[in-house]
Parts: sequence; structure tokens; C-alpha cells
Amino acid sequence: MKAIVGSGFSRTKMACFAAVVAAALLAWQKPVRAQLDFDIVGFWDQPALGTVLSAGSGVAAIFGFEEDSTERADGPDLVDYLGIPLNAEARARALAYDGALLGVPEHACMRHPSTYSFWGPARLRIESDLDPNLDVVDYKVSGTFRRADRTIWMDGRPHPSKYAPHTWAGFTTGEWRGSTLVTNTTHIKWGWIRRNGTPSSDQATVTTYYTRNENVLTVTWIVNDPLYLTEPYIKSVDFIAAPRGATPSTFGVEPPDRGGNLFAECFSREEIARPDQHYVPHYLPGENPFVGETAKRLGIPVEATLGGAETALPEYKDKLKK
Amino acid sequence: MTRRTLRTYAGSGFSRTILAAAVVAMTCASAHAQSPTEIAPDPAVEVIKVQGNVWMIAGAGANIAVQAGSQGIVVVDTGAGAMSDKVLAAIRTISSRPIRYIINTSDAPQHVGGNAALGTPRAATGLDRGATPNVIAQENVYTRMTRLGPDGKPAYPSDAWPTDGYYAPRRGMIFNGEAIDIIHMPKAFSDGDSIVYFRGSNVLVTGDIYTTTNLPMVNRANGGTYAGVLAALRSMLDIAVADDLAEGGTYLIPGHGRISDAADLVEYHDMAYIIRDRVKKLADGGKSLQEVKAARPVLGWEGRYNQPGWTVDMFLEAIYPEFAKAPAPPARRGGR
Repeated sequence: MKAIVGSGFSRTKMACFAAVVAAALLAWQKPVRAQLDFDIVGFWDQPALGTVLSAGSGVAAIFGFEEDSTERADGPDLVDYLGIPLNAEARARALAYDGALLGVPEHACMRHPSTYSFWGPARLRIESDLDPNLDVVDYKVSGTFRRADRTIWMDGRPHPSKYAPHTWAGFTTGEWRGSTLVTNTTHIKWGWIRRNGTPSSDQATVTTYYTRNENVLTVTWIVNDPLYLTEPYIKSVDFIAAPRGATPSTFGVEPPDRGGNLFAECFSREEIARPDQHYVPHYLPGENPFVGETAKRLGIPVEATLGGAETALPEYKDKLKK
Repeated sequence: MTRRTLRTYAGSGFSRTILAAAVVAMTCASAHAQSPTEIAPDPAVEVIKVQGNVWMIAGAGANIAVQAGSQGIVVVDTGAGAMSDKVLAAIRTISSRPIRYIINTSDAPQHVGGNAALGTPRAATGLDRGATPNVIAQENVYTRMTRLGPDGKPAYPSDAWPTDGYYAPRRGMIFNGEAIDIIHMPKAFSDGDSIVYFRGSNVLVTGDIYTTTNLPMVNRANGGTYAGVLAALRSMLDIAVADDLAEGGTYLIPGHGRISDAADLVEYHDMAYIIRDRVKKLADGGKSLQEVKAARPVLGWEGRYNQPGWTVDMFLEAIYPEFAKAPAPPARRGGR
């Protein structure tokens, strides 16, 4: 440096040179900065009157049930598959679904699978594990209904063998693309994409996009199910940063004596009278009594409530009017 | 239908022609049902730790369970014969101890194909002389594997035969400090099925009664029935216990496919239960086999489980006779 100064290199020029070098270094580091700028770690709550935005009361105020309200509490209508790109196989399974299934011990405690879970009640606690260089090894996303906590592996590891067990959360890997964390989930159990018996298979995979805009985290997920869907099924949901972790107690992890564990613990027990021990409530083809109920309420043809890719398109309304 | 019943029908004026037609129809229905062919082995085998002392070797035909400890090795099923070298190599990545027991869950080719290779002293111990593994199977497996065929030769060479057939409902043993239940599942995939439960490791080996690749397989020619498959699935549900929130707990090694837990078994059982009710309703309504096929009672799972060796049609042909109404009794003629 002395040589440079001594050779007449002005302080101003030196400052400019340093600035250029610094800028180049910053530019070179941009991918890392992007990850840091858009990290998703923290507490996230569903927008709700009672928790984040303002005071309120009732179930909606507690769990943030405003968005997609038809999915909340008791859930959507039975035999309402409007807008879901089901194929004939999925429709046959959906029409066989009897809500009493949730009352048999084998089913009572099943978790919300990754094909659905962000659409259910959720208060997210997202944490990360770092390696010695402070690079993210994984994110842990917990707080969805019944705690099918999702680990998002960021270290480039491969997905497991086809012989590995499937879980409700599945196996997830991720990468940052600009400001969006994109993840790929495989190895998911048989489950559902809507809480009215609309099925998902164990061949389904889920691509999830975590996009942060300041204090809003938008999660968009796309279910690809070669067995049951003719096209990808896309859903999204918003979460709001809850930096106090307020979310009275981080949804579903309170001790039992405080009554907050309803969504995180479950003990299966007899809830309905069963003709035999491993009874499976279901409807035989042509016998589902709820076919037409939603259609009647909405004043649309029954065919529309049975879903299919076409029913998701705006043009379908025109077809119905004809 | 016994000979006496036949005589009674004939004597009561039941037309011999109709009777003969009914017998032929029933025989054809039964003969038409083909036996399942298992899915082909993968080119490579994989070793996956399940839990406790139990591993699964996959890709060698039927799945193979290996329990290893200081006393040696128990192998449940031995894979396709052509894969034995790879299976032995895979076992040696788990333990260098001798193979002491082989248990066969049925006599299906991919479950007993490696018996001869794994059952030799060299395979079992790495030495030319030494203890030969005990090969345990339900006695009907033993009977079938030793039965002479039309060519005067047994179905399998003698070095593949079970050496220890059991006929009680259950055989228990303790090995490597772990209680092992070998439980007969009557008339399920066949009449010689066993499931094997490693109590300490909490791993259940199901044989071909439960797979994640096929519709329930029923080998009618070997005494299998759909009712027996359902009963066996229920027995397994009674053994398997899910951990918290319906995940983990008891792990299952299926005959083919991936490692499973109780929730996966529930899904499979529910499918079998629903299909049974659908086929029963159609058969009770007098539908023929062709009409049942046309009604597609497997819709919902066809794409997932239809396999070349065990198609939806083969499955329906196998189970339909259990639901089809028996021939109507002969009309009684007026009294004397």
C-alpha cells in the first residue's frame, strides 16, 4: 500500500478502488446474502383477529381461521370437490368416504399430511440448524395440526430409497431461489388434500414455496399425485410474523393441564359403536347420501361438486349457465 | 359338494345336465383363477435398518428380514434363487455371525428361492463344515415343497426344504435375547402362511399377506382365500401398535415393497375391507364375474396396485368364487 501511495495513487482513487473491490465482494456473496435476507426462521401465526391484528374472541380469534374459512372447524362440506382436478379413481375413493371413519381408533389420531397440513390450523415455529460455517443444514417447520413436523434438508442430501417408510410429513429437501425457499417433499403417507375425504396417495409429491415479504410469509404448495390428480393442485396460505412467539403458546404444545394440547396429542379410543373391532365406515358406490347436498345449497349442478380439472377454470361457470 | 349330496340331487330329479353344467361352471371359475406371480427382483439389493435388531434386505425378490445378534442370524424368507449371492453379501454387511435359522412365510418362489444357497454350512458360517441352519415353515409349506410332481421330482430340491415344519397355531422361540413369534395365518395368501413378530425389536414380517405393491394376493390353488387374507390383516392390526399420532411404533416388513407402520397397514386393510363389501354387494345382486369386473369394484386403487403378475382381473377372478351364490337348490317335485 505504501508503494501505491508513494507512487502517487491518491487517497480518493484508493477509496474508489476499495469501494469497487467491496462491491465486487458483495456481488460475489449475493447468493448467501439472499438466503440471509429472506430467512424464514421465527414464529409465524395465521392472520387472526385475536392474536396478531387485534383483540377478539372465539375460535377464529384463537387460531386464525379467517383465511379459507370453509376449511376450518368442522371442515368443508362432504362431497364438495369443486375445483379439484380429481380423476375417476380419486372420485371413487372420495365418494366412499364416511366421516365416521374419524371415530374409529385406527384413524382418530392421524396427523395432517404434507399434502394438506398448511391449510389446517397452524402456528409455525421455524428453526434452523447451522453447520460450523453457519450455513443452514436444515429448517424445522413445526406447529401444524397433530405435529407432522417437517424437516427441510438444505445440505443437498438425496431422498431416501423407495423402500424407506413413508411418514405424514414426508421427506423434504430445499434450496433458495432468489428470495423464495423451494422445497420438494416425497415419501408421504396415504392421506388427503381436503378434509372431506378427498384422497391423496402415497405416490404424491409436494413442491412448496416459502416466500417472505417483510412480516408476511406466503406458503404456496403444489400437490402432484400421479394416481389421483389429472393436474397439479395448488393452494396457498399466509402467515404473519409473531416475533413475541405470542401465539399463546405456540399452538398446541402447552402441557395437558392447561388444555392446550388438543392439536398435538391424541389418544385413540372408541368413539362410535362398531359392529366389529376393525370396522371400516364407508359408502358403497351409489349410496353416499351427501351427493347433491352441496349442489343444492349452492344452486349448481351435482356434476360440478364432483370436481375435475375443468371445474377449476373460469370458463366452467359459462358452461354451467348454458 | 360331496358325493352324497350329488347323489341326493340326482335322485331327487335334479336334471343331470343342469347338475353337470353347474359343476363345470364352478370348476371353470376355480380353475380360471390364476396364481399370483410376484414382481420381478431389482438389479441391486438394498440393506435398510428397520429398528432394534432387525434389518430389511430389499430388491432380491420378496423382502428378506434379518435379525442379528451375538448368537447369530435369523433370516425370514430368502429371496429369489438367482439373487442369493447378492443376498449373502448383503447379510455379511450386517453381521459376520452364522445363520442359525431360516423362516419361510410361504412357499412362494421368491420367499424360498434362496433356501438352498443360504442353508448350506458355507453360506451360514463361511466354513465348509458346521451347523446347518434350521429352516422353519408351516407344515403345508413343507408338504408342498416336498411333493412329487408329474415327473416324479419334488417341487424343490431337498436342500431347499424346510427342516422344521410346525403345525400348531404358533411357534415361539427366543434368539439373540429376543422373543420371536411365528404365527400361522390360515388360508390367507395360501394355506401355509406365517407371520413373524420380533417382539423386542417390535418388527412384524408379514409375508405376502401384506405388500405395498399389490392388491391382496390369493393363491387359491394353494389354499388361499380372501376371507383368510382379511382375517390375517386384522390379526396383524391387533399386533401392530402405532406410536404417537399414528406414526412409527411397530414397523412392518411387507412381502414386497417398502417398510411400513400400522397406519400403512390400516390403509391396506381398509382397502381390502371396502373391496370385499363392493364385490359382495354385486355378487349378492346376482352379478356374474364379467359383470363384477365391468362394475370396477377396485376403482380407487386400480392404478396403484395393478401389476402384470397380479392384475385387477386376476384378483377379481380369485376372490369372486367366495362371494358367488351357490347354485340354486333343486325344485322339489310334488309328493308321492
